Amino acid sequence: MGKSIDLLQGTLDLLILKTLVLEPMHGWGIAQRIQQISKDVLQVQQGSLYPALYRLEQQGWIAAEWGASENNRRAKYYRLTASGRRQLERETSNWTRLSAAIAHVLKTA
Amino acid sequence: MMLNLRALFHKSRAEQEMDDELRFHLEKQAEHNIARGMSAEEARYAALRKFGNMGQVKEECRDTWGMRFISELAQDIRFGLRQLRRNAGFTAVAIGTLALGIGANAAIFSVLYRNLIHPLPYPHAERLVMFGVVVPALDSRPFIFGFTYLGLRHEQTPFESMASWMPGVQGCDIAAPEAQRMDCAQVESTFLPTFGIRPAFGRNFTFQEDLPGAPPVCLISYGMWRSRFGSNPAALGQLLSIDGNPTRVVGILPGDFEWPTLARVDIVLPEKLPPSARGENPGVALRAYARLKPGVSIAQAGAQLQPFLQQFIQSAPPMFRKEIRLGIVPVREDQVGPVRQALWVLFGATLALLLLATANVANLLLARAEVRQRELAVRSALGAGRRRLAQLRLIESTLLGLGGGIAGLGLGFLLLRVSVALAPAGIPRIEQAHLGLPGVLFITGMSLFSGVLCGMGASLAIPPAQLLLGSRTTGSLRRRLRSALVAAQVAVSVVLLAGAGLLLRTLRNIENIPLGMDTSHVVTAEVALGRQAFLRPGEAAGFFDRLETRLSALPGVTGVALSDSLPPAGAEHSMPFFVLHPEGHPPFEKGTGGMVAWRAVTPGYFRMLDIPIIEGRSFASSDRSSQGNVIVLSKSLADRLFPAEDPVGRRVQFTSPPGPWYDVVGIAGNVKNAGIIQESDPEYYLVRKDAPDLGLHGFPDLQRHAFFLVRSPLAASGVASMVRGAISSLDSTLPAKISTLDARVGQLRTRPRFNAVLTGLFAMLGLLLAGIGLFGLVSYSVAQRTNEIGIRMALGAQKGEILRMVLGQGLKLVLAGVAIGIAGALALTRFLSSLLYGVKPTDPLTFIVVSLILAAVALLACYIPARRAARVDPMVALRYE
Repeated sequence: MGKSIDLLQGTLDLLILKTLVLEPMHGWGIAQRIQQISKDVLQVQQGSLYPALYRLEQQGWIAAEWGASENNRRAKYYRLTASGRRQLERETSNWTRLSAAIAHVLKTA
Repeated sequence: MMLNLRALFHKSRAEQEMDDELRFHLEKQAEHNIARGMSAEEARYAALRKFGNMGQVKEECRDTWGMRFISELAQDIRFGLRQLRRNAGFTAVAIGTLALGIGANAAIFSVLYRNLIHPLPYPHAERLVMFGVVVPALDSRPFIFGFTYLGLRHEQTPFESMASWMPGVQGCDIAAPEAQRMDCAQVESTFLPTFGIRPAFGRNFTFQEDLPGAPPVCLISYGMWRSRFGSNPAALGQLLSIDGNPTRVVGILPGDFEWPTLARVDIVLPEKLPPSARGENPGVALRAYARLKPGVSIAQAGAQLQPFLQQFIQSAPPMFRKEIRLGIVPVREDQVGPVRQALWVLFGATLALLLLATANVANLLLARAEVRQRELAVRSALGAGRRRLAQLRLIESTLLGLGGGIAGLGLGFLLLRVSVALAPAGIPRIEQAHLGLPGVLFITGMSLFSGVLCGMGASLAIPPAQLLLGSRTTGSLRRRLRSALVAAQVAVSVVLLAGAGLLLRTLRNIENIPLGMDTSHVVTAEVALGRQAFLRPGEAAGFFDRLETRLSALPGVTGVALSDSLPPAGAEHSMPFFVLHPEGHPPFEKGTGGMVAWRAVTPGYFRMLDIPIIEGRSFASSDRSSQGNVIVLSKSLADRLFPAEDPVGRRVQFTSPPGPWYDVVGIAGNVKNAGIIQESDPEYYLVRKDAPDLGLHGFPDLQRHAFFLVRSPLAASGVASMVRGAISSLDSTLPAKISTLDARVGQLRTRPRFNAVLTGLFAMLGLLLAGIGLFGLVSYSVAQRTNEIGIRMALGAQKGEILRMVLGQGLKLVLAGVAIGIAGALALTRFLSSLLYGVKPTDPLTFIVVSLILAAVALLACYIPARRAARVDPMVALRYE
């Protein structure tokens, strides 16, 4: 397992939204998914995950529903809303521009 | 929004869900750890470690709950305000409409509150009662004779404390430095303690000072202390000449002291009930107040007082016994009983008006919702949920409601002033009614209520997002809602109009009641001689004679007469019917026979008031000095005493106590004498005799008090000042109350007029609102159907058909509303019955007229847009969309 990186707040929001594009997921699943996809580079601090989820729900970008988990337990599933999808697009393009700009600075300076 | 409300108000539920979610997370993580080879316990700890500070996380999660609600609310309020500002015209109309409803409510509520809810200004006032016996023939309010009262005072009773009062407030004169007529009351020394009141300064008079022969003392009102003594504390201990009797001021009543009957009282004197009240003679009639012992109900008190009732009944003349019952009445009931109903009716009318206003604004909002479809669609597309949109609507309408409340506050204030001007004697305490804290709270409640109510329709009618995204929705729910609202408005208007109509007919009936006399152009002057003046035999009568002569000599005066009381305000004196014994008939033995009013008048009295002498003659001047006794009977009394006989020339005797015979010299027409709407009593007249023996039925005070009636075609104000001048030229220290007979009669009509004018006003406003609502709905529907109408016309429909179609659509609603309204009015107007006179609560004429008025207004409201529809140019209409 390589060295993990702590996430900035805004970045966590972006990752959560992105994770939910395909299907609704519960909190633990989201944390797991981010970790897996980033090949364990991005460690979601589980403690900061839930406040972020609640915040996103309040913004209306994600919505929550109680449902049954894989082994049939009650779990709260989050899904992306229409405005969440747009937010994701905005944030993604912001991020792309930002990271491209930073990469550019790092390369040339 | 519902979720957040839950979070705010039912935190436990949201908290529970959060706990569930976090527990699920930890279990999931533990399973994951076990799968990676940890023991169960290790796995659990590892999961907790990985999660971090649980308490802090929860706290952060909780923070988001309230914040969102508040930030969204602030955002929506800002948006709502912006919307309202942008549509200033709409906002003004809506706020104005609501202000009308709220203002009317506020005004009536504050009067209602002051009278029916506001605590009486006595500690534990709920335990204060007026008690005694009720003998309907004598008095509708409880009274008690001195001997019964004194007996009770020494016994075990349900009362903690009791106090008696010589009923009524008498005029009394104070001299030096300036003569003034004041209002004096005589009460027992326990009066103030019973009411739980202490003088603001000084002291109450003592039990010793309340005994006959004690040195005279008095308490004065706060108002008198201020006006007469300039609030100088030195007033205490001063001697005040009351009716020529030097009386020491021992105390000053508190500024907020309210007499239990709401009468005005300037000076309170000891009652000095003579101990001789006990004995054979029942003694004077008193009003008695008492404070119930804590925990004793009125029913229990009544049971405890039964022995006294029985004792009283035994001592009463047999003919009275059957009618006697016990009366224990809460002080508030005694004060406001007669107007309670009127207040509730007026309050009901204003609530109806507010409903109408709310329905109207709801309709406006619904109409606007239609216009704002596109905006809604955009917002919906942007992700605003149905709930959020509904919330927005409600916030907007609540803002309107609050705006209406603020404007209504001002309007209510004005309306209250108008009511005060309308009803100087119509409603008790109306001058004291003001929009205090309860009024403001009430207005706030009403504003929020009406605001939410009128936004409800618009919120309910927000279609699901999918529908909004379509280019055009039918909005049939909205249309149905709007139609229902208009029908409801019409229905409420019918109820309001029917109520107002019935009260107006009552007023008209009351105005048209024949009084049996001509009250116009008569100035009245009430003159009472001080108790210490004109005491030598004949002096008082001599003074009145001189005054009469002087008044008769005034320029323009065509007649002067004296009487001891004036119709129709109620006779000062009355006699049970059984006491009158007509010559040649057996004595009356069927109970009391009710009361007979009587007055002692001068010979000019009948001519003065234009009361016809049907048979025989009026009094002659010679009757005043003659030794014999003459009597004039009213027609109704003559018919009862001498049925089917000619009474003139017959004789009547008063049997209790047995007196001389009176010769019947004439029969006078019936005159209203017990109030305008009350059944009048039969009546007889005696002549005011010359000094020294006035022969006035043993009422020695009669010769010291009189109403002068002065008829003159000149303007009343001029005559009044001449009369005042004449009185003061004879005795400059003698105060007199000068008025006109018409004013006295008018005062009796004040309350019905107040009821009728206010409900009439509310009904007119209601009718206007319903008309506007209908007009709006039909206009809107015409505008919406322009296209359709155009097609119809292009296909050959005639103008008349279009007109009929549009009119028919509106009138269908009106008819439905009228039908519902009439049913509602029939159910509700029976609550009016005690306020009505000469008209039944289901009076068909009123209902027909009301329906016709509504139909006419509705027709007009529909006709204008219908005509516009019929003028539609098919070509323009087809190009319209």
